[in-house]
Amino acid sequence: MTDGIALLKAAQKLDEEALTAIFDQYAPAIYKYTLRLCHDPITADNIVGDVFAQLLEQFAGGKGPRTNLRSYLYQTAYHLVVDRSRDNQHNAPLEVAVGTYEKGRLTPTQTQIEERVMMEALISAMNTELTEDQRHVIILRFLEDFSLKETAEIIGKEVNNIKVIQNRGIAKLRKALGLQLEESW
Amino acid sequence: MENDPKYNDVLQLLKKLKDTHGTYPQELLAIRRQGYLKQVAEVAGGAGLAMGFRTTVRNARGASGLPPAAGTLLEALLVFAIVAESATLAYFYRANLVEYFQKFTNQPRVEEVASPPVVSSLIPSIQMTPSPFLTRTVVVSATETETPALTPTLQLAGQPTNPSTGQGSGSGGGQAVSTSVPSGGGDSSNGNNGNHYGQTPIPERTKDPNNNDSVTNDGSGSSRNN
Repeated sequence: MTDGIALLKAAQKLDEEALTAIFDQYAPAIYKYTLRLCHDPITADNIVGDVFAQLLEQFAGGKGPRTNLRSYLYQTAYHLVVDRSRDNQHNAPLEVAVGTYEKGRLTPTQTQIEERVMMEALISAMNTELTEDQRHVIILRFLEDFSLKETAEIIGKEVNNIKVIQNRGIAKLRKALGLQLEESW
Repeated sequence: MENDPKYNDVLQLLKKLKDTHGTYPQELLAIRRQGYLKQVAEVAGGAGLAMGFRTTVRNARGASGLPPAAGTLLEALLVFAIVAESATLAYFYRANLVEYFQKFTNQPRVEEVASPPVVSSLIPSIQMTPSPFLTRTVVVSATETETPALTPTLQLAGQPTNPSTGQGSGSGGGQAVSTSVPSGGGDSSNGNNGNHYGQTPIPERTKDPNNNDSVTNDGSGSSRNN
């Protein structure tokens, strides 16, 4: 935490080393997050570029995050993804995540095949059953490990509202996966 | 975590999905990083000058050793001094200022007055003749009143007075002359018999019924004893 604050303070002074360290630390995570949302590697890469360009712009103007750099970067990425999704209404499933999940598996066992089926069902449910807000909250809370408060800051809603959205999203997923869960477990 | 336990099955699946890696492709990451470093160099170089200038200004401000309140006080004193100096200058040069402003305020204002249209009226016009009273010239004899020599005399420019006729300033020191009507005692050309003050005929003396030869005042200012 102290290192993060020191890094942030150095970055605010436009220290090149600090700015490079921030990119190396957060760029893969931001890419992963945006890939989960927009499902296109090129688009995700462009969003990563935009996120860090905005960060530099803010630092150069004497603005930018003061405490939580990670939340700030995710928040910027979230808004960029939302803007792009409004532009092209592109809503593809999380195929990239599934594809990477498949990689490295030479000969899948029965359990692995069952897991893969469940994952595909989960991803499908997330893409089709959940609303946009519910999907964002589920991803930020359970795939990116943000707290309720941080998630609320990123999305721009109240914490209680985030709780409601989260519970409704999980209930929807559980309902959509009900058959599969009963069959598996 | 304040999640409902009944959702644990879904949460377990989400945890597994989290472990799946959507890794950043190395070629994309390298290109993106290179572009980012280029941006950093540009921003750091450009902003370095700005930050240096800002630091210099901040240091210069801090070098004076004055707190912000003292700066405000100094500013107020400066404004007060300027106002006081202006007021003093205005007081010393008030005559010039008044003259200067009067130059603007006392300028004659020319107004274009259009003559009213002449409307033919059914009412016959009345010819007004000047009253003799208005045209009468009052001649005051020098014996009756003595006008101070410094009393200004009204004369029309371009009409020199003729001293031989007894008119004008030569006949009597304090003679008032009307403007357009020729004045002079005894001139009855306009019906004026010239009975002005001092030239009125002396009334006939009447016999006092009481045969009183006491001193009488006939108005000439002298006492006569018959």
